Amino acid sequence: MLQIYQTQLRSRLMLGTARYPSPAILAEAVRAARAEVVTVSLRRESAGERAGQAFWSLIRELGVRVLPNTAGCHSMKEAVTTAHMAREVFGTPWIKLEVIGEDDTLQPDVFGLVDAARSLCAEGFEVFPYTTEDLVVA
Amino acid sequence: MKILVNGAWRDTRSAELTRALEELGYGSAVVSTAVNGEFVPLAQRAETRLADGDRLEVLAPMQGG
Repeated sequence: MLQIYQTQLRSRLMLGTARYPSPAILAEAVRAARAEVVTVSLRRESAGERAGQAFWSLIRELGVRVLPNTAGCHSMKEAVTTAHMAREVFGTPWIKLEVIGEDDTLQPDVFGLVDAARSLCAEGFEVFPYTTEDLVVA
Repeated sequence: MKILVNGAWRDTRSAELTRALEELGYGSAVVSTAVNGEFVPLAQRAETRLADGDRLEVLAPMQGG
């Protein structure tokens, strides 16, 4: 049994939700993997397409926990704002905190990451940092 | 009034955020909002006023990892 913050999980698998050929195959993959946690994101929503609404309905039907991320954020301020937006939409204090320092390699900006993590933890978020293998930073 | 919605200029008659979202087609959508880079919680949308030139971000759940 894996414990993350106060949550106990039977599976250590956290399944990504991007790049599946179809929503049906995503749903099949989540069920087949017996994943308890899937990662999700927030993106700009087009009023006409409303692609996010259908995706969110699918995830809720699967009954799994979600781990939102702050992908695409390049500063502490952006990441903290996105984390607040994610908490409201997904209804979870969990946040996979990403502060990107270099776009080509997606290397994290560990200075911004630590600042953002400090701020979010103080506000009750449960932070999953996207960081390097540097134990001092961790 | 012209505001920048998700990076594109849009016209809106309403200055109140909740009504502007309806006008822009987000009426019943599950979305989160930020104005000029500041998060605006759902509970504060009705009292949030938009001004000409404001930047409105409307984000929704999407696939990701």
